Amino acid sequence: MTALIRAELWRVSSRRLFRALLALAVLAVVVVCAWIFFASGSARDFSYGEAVPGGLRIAASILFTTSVVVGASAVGAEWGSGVMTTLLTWEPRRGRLMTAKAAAVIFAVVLAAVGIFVLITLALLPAGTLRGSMDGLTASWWRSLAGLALRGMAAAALGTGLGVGLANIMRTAAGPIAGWMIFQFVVAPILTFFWRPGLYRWFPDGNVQLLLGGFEESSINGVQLVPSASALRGGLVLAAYAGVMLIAGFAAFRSRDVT
Amino acid sequence: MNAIEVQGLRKSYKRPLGKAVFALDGLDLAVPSGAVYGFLGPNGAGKTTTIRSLLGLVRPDEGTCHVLGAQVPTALPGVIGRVGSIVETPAFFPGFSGRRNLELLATMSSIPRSTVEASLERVGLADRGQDLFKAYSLGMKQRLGLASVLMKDPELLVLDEPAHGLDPSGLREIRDLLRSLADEGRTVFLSSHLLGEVQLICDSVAIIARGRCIAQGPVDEVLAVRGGSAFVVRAPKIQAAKKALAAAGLRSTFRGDRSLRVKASVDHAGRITRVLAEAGIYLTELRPEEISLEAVFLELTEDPST
Repeated sequence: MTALIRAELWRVSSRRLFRALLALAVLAVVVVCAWIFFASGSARDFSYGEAVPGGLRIAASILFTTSVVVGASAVGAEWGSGVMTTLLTWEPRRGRLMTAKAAAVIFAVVLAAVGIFVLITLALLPAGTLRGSMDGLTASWWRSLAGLALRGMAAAALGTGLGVGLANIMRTAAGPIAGWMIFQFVVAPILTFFWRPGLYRWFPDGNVQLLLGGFEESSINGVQLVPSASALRGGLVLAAYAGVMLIAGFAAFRSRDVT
Repeated sequence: MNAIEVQGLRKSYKRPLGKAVFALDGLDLAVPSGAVYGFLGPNGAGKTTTIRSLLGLVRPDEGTCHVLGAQVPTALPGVIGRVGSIVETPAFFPGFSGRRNLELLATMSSIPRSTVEASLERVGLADRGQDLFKAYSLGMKQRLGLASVLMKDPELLVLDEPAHGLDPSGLREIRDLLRSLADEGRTVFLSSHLLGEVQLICDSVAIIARGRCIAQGPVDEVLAVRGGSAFVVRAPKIQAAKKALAAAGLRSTFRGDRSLRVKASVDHAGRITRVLAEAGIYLTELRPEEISLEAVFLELTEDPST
């Protein structure tokens, strides 16, 4: 199993999409942090203690959607290219193969998330030390930041699992990615704003914000979007999405013919 | 001992809004160990479905498959390391080089990486190993598929059209390679449309049509059983020769090259000569007809409805 996971990790980290998205993320962090540095000027109103958690929260919410794409692409591309057939002639235990694949891509995405969080924390240092304030960096601040980073890693892992599951069901990369984007950015908002605002509490978007602790109480037509706002609830709803998709994807992979 | 045993294999594919289509309809097969075994059949006969069933990729509706004594799919993982296979056109990661693809498979199965170079060398891809797989020609993809098979040092090779896309010199190299693998004591199960190639390298064959095995055994036996015996007769007055032979009770058909195919047993050569000579027709050629696998294949797999 270790050899299988090692091979999968090698493959995932060599994928052009993974590398391109990682490079894009690094570039975006560097550019935004540089802009913050120069925009801070001499007013010294930049607070490192407030900016870092905010930055991590934004990065983690973008990471969730990106991780769905990476997860779906890592597995879906193998169906599209026929490589899954080749792999199964080397490892016919389908559960084992898919477990290794899912573990490898989740591990790679979580590792990338950690790297991005560390980069944000470091890249904002110049603005904090030279053009702003470093006040408030107490032990509890660091604990809270670590908790936020852990929840961000969890969001990335759950998003990746969701993508892997969808790709196994649809056996392509483009299908689940397009389907997820349409659901996330078209169907869910339409249902929320034009039909039943109460549905929002079950959609991923708000629950990612809940998990990351950045959800702001809001309502549509007097209906509160998420009544009991807690990170645990957000995590559980996202875990349910990822779990259901992963289980359905595994079941489909184990039972369906590979033709 | 048989390297592959298939009994009563049935497999149907359900079409959306349509009837199920039978790909295999009670297939029986026994592939002896240490032989090159040709697996022949027209398109849609069920060859690839059989191979996919043997490798646990599709689940048959009925019947059993055993590979190297292990029941498929339950015990397949125990022997998969001794089975090298190619299913249709070999598929690898398109954005990786040929060498990297093999290294990935080696890592996955804890095979020493030194086997990668040796395998590439053996299939003639050592110089092109660094090229991306997506830039490979069909023939090169086939070679890389064979290289991946060889990395396992397999006892049994299950190859689906391995010569597809190869040029004549490539065909010859692959033929020699497969023969040498068999000479090392390995079993080669070879699905192919290239009947001439199969006749050249296979010890035994199975011919399937409409999901059933319709002939199986050593190549010579399959040829002998089906070919019967016949003579090729060439003479100046071919129409008159045909009439004379018919009058003597010898059935013949035109072959299209101003010669006749006369169905008769081997000891009838003298009679044919005499009948024609008595009719004033003097032979320019009389020889036993060589039966090719292609002729037998076409005869056996002819659709009765056409």
